[in-house]
Amino acid sequence: MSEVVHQWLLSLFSLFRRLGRGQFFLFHLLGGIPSLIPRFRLVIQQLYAIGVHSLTIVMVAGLFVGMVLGLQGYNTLVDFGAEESLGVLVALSLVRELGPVVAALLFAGRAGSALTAEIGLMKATEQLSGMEMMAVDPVHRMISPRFLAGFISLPLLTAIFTLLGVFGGYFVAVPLLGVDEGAFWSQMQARVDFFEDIQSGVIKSVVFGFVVSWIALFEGYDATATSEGVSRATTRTVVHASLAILGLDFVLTALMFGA
Amino acid sequence: MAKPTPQRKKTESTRGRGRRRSQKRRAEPLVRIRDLEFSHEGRYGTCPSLFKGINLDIHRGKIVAILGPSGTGKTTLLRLIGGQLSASAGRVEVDGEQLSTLNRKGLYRLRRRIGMLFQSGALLTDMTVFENVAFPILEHTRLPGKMVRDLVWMKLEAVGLRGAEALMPAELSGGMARRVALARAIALDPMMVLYDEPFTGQDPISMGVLMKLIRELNQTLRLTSVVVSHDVEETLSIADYVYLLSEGQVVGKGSPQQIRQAQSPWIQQFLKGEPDGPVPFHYPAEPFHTVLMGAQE
Amino acid sequence: MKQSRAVEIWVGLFMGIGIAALVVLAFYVGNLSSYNSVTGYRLEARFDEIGGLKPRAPVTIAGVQVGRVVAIHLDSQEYRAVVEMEIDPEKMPLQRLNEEGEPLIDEQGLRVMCDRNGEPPHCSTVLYEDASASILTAGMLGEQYMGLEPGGGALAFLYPGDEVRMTQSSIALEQVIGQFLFNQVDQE
Repeated sequence: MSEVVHQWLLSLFSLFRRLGRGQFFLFHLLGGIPSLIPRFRLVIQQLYAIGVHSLTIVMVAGLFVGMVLGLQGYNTLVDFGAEESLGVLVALSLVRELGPVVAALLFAGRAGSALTAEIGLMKATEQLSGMEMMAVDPVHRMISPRFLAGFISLPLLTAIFTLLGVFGGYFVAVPLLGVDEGAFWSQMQARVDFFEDIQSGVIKSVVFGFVVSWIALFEGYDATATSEGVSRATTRTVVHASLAILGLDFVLTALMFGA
Repeated sequence: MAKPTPQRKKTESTRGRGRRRSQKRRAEPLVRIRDLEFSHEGRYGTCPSLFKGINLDIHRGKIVAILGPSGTGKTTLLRLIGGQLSASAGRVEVDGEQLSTLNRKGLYRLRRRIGMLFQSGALLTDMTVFENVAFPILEHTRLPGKMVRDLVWMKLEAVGLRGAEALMPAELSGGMARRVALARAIALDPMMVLYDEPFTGQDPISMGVLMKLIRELNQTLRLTSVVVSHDVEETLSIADYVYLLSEGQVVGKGSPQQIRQAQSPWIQQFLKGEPDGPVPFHYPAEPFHTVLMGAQE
Repeated sequence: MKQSRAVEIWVGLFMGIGIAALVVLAFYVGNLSSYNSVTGYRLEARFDEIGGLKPRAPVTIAGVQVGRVVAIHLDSQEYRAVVEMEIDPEKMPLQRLNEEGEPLIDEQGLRVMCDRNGEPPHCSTVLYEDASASILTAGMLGEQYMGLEPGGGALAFLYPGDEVRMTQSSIALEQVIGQFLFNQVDQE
């Protein structure tokens, strides 16, 4: 019995150690960001690897999510004779919730796992310690640009996702289901508020970008330096980042819309 | 020599007189390890200690080999010298500076004068051979592009791979990757190069090439080389001085001749690669016949 | 070098599309454009009951949106809700008046409008003094908005900043039902 308690305490202890390491890692990588300003090329390369490569999946997913929203929303709203509000429904649910959350989940799966695997493999193949022995700080040189690129990419990807979602909803609603085009747009514009809805969506995506990049890079950096360790770290990135996104989404929603 | 004189301490604190200081130290070993103890930190605390009091001197201009079976922590020893790990007890001094007293900046300044060749080469996989060798130069100097290019070509020429400058690391064979890594390790003209298992997994030709390179570079660049290995013959043939490491202790030291003639049965088993001897063939276990009998009942 | 140029182009494109998407979301899907529109002229109205009317609700004439509700507060002397609205002069311009306070008419018999900087007393709204404001509901479950009736019985016009005197409060369904039941009980 005491053995079980002992084991349990040990794993709790190691969990807190990990959290602490994560904090130090964050401070370390943030410390590398000022030195990136004269070498922005490093960030551009990562923006390409992280942002541009996630563009296709985000665009396609956005379009489909919007189309499904349009179809489902129409079936519900038509019973109340309120199909003109379809634009509002599609836009509000995308701008406030689905845009930031689904884009962040896709980002965690597409870019986050790739970041973890890349950094983890660099660690496993001694590239990071090699850099350290060349008196180059691997966190500043390799991690900070990736973090900054992830942090910039996700809000932009979210905006693209949301916009395509709105157009997806429009394509289903107006040409397919025959909702009045003017009502679709005008009600949407009347009801979607910039400060209340769009701004809070952007805040969410900024927070998610920060957290997903942090988790992905930390998991890679903290991975056991074996192929098994890297694959486990990659899985952990997707799981932890997804849970963090959904949990934070609740917290942020409660903060911004709850009161 | 073991205890530092007050005079030496004084010279250490005055940075400006580096030249005189280094002349004074010419005779002193470049790396001096005293009573080194170390144990890895595991998931739930510390593991059994890897080193139990090691004393080791690496003299300037020499090729010093550290031999020992796998798992004795030879690579760990290199990392301790490079300051990537810190000792649990004891001292590691490199060029008169005790590593445990150095801050990050001091450590990084010291590392610029140390090259390390990793077992895997540790080339940056998203850069070409040229960019890999240029990497430390670009990170630490502000030389004009043309001069960087000439420097890189010089280093690549030294390892015979100037023609491979446009290749990616994935396109290189293991031996070539190690030579590129060597060119990178000497890019900043270090005072010392640490070789981690340079011969492991190499075919005879690239092994020969690497042996030649280690010897030649050591002479022409006036390097100090530390070679960690378990390839006995190759290592003995290029080393000036050898340390044998086993179970956390130095079990033998001397010139290659002295090592070959050592009486210790353990050393003889290690050198000749005999399957059984002081290092038993069997991992400690209950006697097999008692296990079998027990299972029958 | 060639490769890095392609990378730069792609990244530039990505940033461009992303920022453009944000801008479109803000101005086209959302209503940022209406925040930044040049401030129009104000009118106010007092109601006994505003129901679910909120700031930023549309103000319409004949169903055409001409402005927005900008602020709602309580007049604590009269216990009535004061609704301030802002009218976009592009959508409902001011008209030019002659010395007698009558609208100027051009050769085709149409009223002459002021430009957007028109000031009283030469310019007034096109609403008569007996214009009325009511709080309406879009559809059965829709949001509430403000409807203006231009009036026509009076000769004078409302000026920017004036109060629309005639108002019809929001019809609270509970009250209507309550009244109906009360009448039923009375009759018996």
